[in-house]
Amino acid sequence: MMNICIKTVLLIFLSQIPVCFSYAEFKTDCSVPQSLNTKMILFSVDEEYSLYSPEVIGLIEFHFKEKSFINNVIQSQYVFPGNYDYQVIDKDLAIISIKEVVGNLVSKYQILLVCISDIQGYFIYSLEHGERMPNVHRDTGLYILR
Amino acid sequence: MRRWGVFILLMTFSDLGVAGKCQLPVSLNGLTLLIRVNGMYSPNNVLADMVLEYVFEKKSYQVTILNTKQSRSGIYQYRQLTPMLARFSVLEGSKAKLTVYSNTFVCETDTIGYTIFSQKKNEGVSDIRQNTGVFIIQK
Repeated sequence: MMNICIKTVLLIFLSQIPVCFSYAEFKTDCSVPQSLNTKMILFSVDEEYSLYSPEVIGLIEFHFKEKSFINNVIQSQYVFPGNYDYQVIDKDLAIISIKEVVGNLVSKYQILLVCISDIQGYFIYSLEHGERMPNVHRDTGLYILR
Repeated sequence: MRRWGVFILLMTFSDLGVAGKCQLPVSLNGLTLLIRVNGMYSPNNVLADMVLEYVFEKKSYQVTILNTKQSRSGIYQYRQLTPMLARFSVLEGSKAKLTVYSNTFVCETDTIGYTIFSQKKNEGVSDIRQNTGVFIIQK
């Protein structure tokens, strides 16, 4: 903290930027859930198709239990079960790590959550391994806790 | 201490440390970063489809909206949370009209990836909003 203050003294005179700041100043006041057990999350995928975002399929609803979930793709009514781990990284930041097994097909992906309020925020979906190519890609979108 | 605890937890958490096999920079010092803002315009996404160029020094940066040539500067903190996950947080503009926001990055390769923009204040006024975009790291 002291180092940041000294280094930014010159900046005060040039741009009136504050001398000191702490990481807490950047954070919004929201919190991600401490646990997903019994929670339902609706994911609304951004509708921008690209090489790395080939699955712009709209709305997906996840129903979470303690270690498992059911994933319901609302448009198609496809339902996929799976297991997950949930890690709160910061007050407003969490990662869901997911493994879905359907027959011989395994999908592994992660969903990064950054909240804007206690019930919604944006996510980045990162597929590591899937049944369809490309096997590694990202999507973004809005999530809503229900 | 808490930061190290989170780091150790993340590194030991299954798969998280190697997910995607991409690597975000350890520091932004000396780098130029392009962010293309998501193209869907809304009140939460007033810079839709614009391209922002960030030029970083050790603690400060300058950002230019390439579409309009408008520039602003500020000071930042950058934290690499895992090899593929990082966040840079900024105080931008003058003290009286401070804009406060962060960008959370997930890489796709070592030079491109996705970002979530989270704003807390805009020019001194509370203005909480988010949007998404893609980033490209240039040397």
